[in-house]
Amino acid sequence: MSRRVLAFLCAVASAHAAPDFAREVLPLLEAHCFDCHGDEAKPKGGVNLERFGTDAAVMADREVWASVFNKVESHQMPPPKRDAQPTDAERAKLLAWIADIAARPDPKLGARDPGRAVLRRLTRLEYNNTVRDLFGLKLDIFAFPERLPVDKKYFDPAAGKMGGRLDIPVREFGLKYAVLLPDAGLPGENRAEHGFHNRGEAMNLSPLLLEKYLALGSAITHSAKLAELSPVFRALIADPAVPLRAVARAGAQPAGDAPVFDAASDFAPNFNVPNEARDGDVVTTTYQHRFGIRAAVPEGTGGVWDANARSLVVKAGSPVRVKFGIDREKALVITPREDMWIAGFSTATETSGESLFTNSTKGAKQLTLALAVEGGQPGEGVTELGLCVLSRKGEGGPVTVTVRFTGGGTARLTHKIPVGEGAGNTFFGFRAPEGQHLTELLLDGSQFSGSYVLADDLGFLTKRIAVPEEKGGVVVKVSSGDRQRIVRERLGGFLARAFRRPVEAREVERYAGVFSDAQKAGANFEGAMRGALGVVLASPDFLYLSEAAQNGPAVRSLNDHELANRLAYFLWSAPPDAELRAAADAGRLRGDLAQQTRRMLRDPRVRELGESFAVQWLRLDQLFTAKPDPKLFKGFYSGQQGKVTLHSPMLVEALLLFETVLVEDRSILDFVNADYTWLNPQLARLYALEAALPAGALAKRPGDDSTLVSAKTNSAWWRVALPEKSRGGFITMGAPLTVTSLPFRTSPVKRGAWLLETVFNRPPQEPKIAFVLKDAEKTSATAQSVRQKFELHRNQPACFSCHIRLDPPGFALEAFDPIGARRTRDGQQPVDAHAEWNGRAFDGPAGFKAALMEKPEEFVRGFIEHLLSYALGRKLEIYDMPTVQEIQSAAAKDGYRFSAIIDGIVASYPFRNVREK
Amino acid sequence: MHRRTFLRGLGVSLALPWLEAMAPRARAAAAVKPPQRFAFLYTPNGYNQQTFAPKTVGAEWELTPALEPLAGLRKELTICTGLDRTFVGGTGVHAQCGACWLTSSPPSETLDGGFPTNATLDQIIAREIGGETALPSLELSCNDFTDSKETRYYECISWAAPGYAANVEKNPRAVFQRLFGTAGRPTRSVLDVVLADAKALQARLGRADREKLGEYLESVRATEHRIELAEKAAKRVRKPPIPEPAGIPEQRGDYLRLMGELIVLAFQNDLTRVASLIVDPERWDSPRMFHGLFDKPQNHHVLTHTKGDEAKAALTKIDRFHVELFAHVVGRLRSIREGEGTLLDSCCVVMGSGLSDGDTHKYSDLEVLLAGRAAGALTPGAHHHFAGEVPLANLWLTLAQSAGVKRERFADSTGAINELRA
Repeated sequence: MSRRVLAFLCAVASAHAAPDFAREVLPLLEAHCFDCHGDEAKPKGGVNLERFGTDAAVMADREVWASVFNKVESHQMPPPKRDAQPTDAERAKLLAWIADIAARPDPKLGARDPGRAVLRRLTRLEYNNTVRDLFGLKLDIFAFPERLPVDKKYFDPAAGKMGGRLDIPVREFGLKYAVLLPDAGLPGENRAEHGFHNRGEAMNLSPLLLEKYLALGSAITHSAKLAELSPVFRALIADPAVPLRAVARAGAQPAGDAPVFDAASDFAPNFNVPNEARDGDVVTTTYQHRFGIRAAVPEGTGGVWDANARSLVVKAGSPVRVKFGIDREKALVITPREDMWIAGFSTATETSGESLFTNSTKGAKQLTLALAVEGGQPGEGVTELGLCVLSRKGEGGPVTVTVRFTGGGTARLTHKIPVGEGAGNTFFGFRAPEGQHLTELLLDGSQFSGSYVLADDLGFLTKRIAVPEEKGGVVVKVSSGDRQRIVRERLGGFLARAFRRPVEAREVERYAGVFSDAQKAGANFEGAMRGALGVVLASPDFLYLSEAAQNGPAVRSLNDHELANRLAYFLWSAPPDAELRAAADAGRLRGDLAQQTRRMLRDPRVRELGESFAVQWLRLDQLFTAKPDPKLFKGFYSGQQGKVTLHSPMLVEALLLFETVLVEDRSILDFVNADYTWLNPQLARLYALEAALPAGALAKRPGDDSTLVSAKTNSAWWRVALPEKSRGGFITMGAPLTVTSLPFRTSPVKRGAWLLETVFNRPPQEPKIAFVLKDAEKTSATAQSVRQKFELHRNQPACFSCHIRLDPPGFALEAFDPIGARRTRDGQQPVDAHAEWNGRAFDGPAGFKAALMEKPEEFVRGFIEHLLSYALGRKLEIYDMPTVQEIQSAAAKDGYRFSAIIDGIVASYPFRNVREK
Repeated sequence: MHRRTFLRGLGVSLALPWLEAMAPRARAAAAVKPPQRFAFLYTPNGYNQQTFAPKTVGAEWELTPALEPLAGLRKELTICTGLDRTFVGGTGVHAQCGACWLTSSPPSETLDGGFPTNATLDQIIAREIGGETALPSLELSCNDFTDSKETRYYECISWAAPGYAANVEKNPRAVFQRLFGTAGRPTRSVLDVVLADAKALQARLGRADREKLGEYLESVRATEHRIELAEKAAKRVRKPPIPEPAGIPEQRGDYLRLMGELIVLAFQNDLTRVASLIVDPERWDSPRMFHGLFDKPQNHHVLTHTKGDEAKAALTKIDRFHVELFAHVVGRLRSIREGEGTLLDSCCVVMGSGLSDGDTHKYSDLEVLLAGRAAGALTPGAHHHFAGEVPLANLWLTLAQSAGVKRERFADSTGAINELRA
């Protein structure tokens, strides 16, 4: 559609002078459409437009006109190769008429159609998040592939700024990470046709899945770890007759000058640890060991003390605290029996940070550290410990490390530390016998040359060892009436949160029944409660988002609780939080919607908008299975055996652009035309933009090339201004360019289809004929570029009307190879990236983007449609056209800022209303 | 799992579970006729047309490179070639392939968006013959890709109704647990509670949503029924015949054979009488390892569209690899004695693809392999070629009738294929 047509369309729409069907539209249809789409036995594509005799007939069956609109608007219909074409004014008239019928009230409803009520099963991601929030956990319930392998510490939407440099470690895709139930899981959802995973009609439930939900619910509430990690859950299942033993509180606040450290999550990389250190009893701390600690950090059961201070003497008997746990609520208390010195040594190479710990009195070379855990559950103590003993320039010799256990036993390791500045750094590891804790650590360097015995990076894992019930402990007498009341109170509160709405007494009674059945069968209070809570997690009221029929008018507005649910699952893929529930309970959510939305966009849970919506929208969920040929595209693989790939950085780059627009509330036009991007050293190399990174960013530490070190370098990201327009925005990023390629070559068709679908939300039709490719290929002789082959194909009349839209973007992107690097040749042939878009000739990706930006409305509309469909969990219909238009017009006034689109969706008619019939 | 591990648990079993469950008098009466079993194996992206179908018809068909693994099974086999389907425009060629391979809707009837999905042959047969087993049917898949890049039309060949796909089970361990109840079963009182919730919720919903929630209600009822039957079956099958699998085996061949083995065990112990297995999904452009065949991951779909002898040879290898699975299942069924003959005699094992030539997405000239006699309903032993337009649905109608389903039409069928009947 040309500019003129669009202007005319707007004029028509604003003047409310919709064309008259019989007088103005019907003659157009007769002249241009009925030849193929008329009253015949087999109209083309099964589309008969002649059956609509009147306006009323059209209103009774509007759906087909949405696709007529799209085909006519994009000049795919009438077929471009047909001689007689409508004038721009005629085209505009037809479109204006369709826009008008789309906006009219539905005659059957007597109102605009807001679409059906929501009834859909929670997706796997939503299930996970819902259970997580119900129990106040900080980790996932189970591992699942939609959870991106990215450490989200950098993500702070409340800051409103992304900054210029970020540290984003990633783990290998598919690698296990800390979750509540490592062996559990649910099958994933498939995406809907041209849609998202959350679309209700695309999700079925069958006996197999029901049984999985029942088993999973029970596995969750019977997990020992849940009780450890969730105070909410402990309070639910605790027997009222046995009062909760007070959780040992962190002792008196340490005196002002007592040192407190935060636990780190990583042992230093092993590049300076001699792997051959095996003699004697020395246990070289292995990769698994490190991994164990990294996993323990999010579970709150471990960490690393990286003694970091410029120069600090800790007096004998005064403790050092290392905070760990999910909310830093626990501390490892390290109390030295001799004066301890934390400092940097220029003649030693520390394992991490700039400093280490050692004896303070010169020549003492003995350090005894008492270890205890403060806070947390009773019975928690250190069960595993690792530390690095360091060597110094010109110094070496045996060092003995001894640990003492609660049972009274000890374990001792001695190792002769080789001389050298870091060359002799050696890890020692210890594990307490089953059922015991480690209470003391002794470093003895009396045989070591020099005056100090040096150590660093004290890693620890903790475990709770059940403390035997105190004999004659307090048992409160609870009458059976009180007990019943308590059970109902607890279940009632839990059910209201789990079902995300107020619950009725008989619903509570049903679950109280499960509780008492279990008690009758011999379960104790805790066991019976666990059983009842597990069933809640398989109830349809928990598993489905639903909006009840009210038997009132044909269209009703949603109540506050329904609205809270829509909002929370849209922005967070999670249930409403306490504040949103309170607003709904008080009936003030509808008035507060904009404010609540603003608040929710500043909550870390909004990460799912990027990780769920944007990743599905851009098809990046397919990125990790893309396998560019390792021989042809060596740049994609690096490290040992090519294990370090570009998958993660490509994903992170795309995610960062989405999050930058979200967090900084920038214009969504950045998505196609940003003048900046985020780069780490790997991507800078792929894009040949090394010069954009600050000096030294690419440099490695001298002499190291281990995978772990490069991981550290690669986790650094910079926001860089782009020198020119061929990068910037999703279209020309490595991730989509790789997703849309085959292992050996590019695919202009895949790239074109990706672009039409994601950027414009106008996916091409599936090929009507399945036989064309072969015919086209027969004539293709040899040495043709990919583009030349496709040119032959598109010239078939049957293919032309789609390919006229499909090919130009694909050709523009031929300037990028299958992993998104710039190229000038495709095989033997020079790359030909010229084509025409919206009547404007271009050459190459920058030109294509410029052509696209001539009419940014096309992209904005596509984006709004995608996001609205995601927000509603359904396919958009013809009656949603005016809503999209309204959101777009409002957002245009605000420069298409991200929040303007979100506000528009949240305030929109279909988001706040449902059809009852 | 190692092959030997399977066999250790099995021996030559003479157990006749469906007989033991009956009273002695009924046993005597029924001794002549074991129950029928049907298994459907689906392979994606068609077959290499140069190396799959034999040229000779009749009993003396020549062994083609892809069919070599069937050399020892000729007497048990039927090969059908030249059967035709009609592609319905507007939806994906690959999406429709598997999803509508067994559909009971003709191409003119698209009740599920643009797709002619409807109750599939396996489900229709299961309703006829599967009622009294612990699982009315078993739907399996060896699609272990973790990206959900394609729609559900790619995931499943078994559909309960238009738009209502069965959930497939991909993990052999979960299949095992479901068959032998080793992971426990939900109790009746738990099911009663969620059923009550579902009924109350349904009463609050609008009409269209009530239908959607019906899936949940039906599932609860089916589970209740299943548990009853499973408890009965558990009295017969006290100890699972093989140890519980740990999960999805690393090697592709082991994975496929293990899933096949679970079907065999389910049939042998009469835990189900109908099974479907989608060996790999259509298209799904993710490369995968075929261990022992190639040293690099292969993209089956892309190979079908790649020119040159190298790609064609690779396709033949993959076809043959899938035929080996079919041969393995058939061979295992034949190795188990049942009544007067073998377990295979009561079975009909079907393998096919929704396309013939993958390169051109050809819906006509399809190949289907069948094995077994379906308890005397079918006569195997020959290659039948159907010239002209003969709907694939004619074969499905024949199988449905063999299972006792009373219907004269199936999808776009024009009549049963009498040559296949006993």
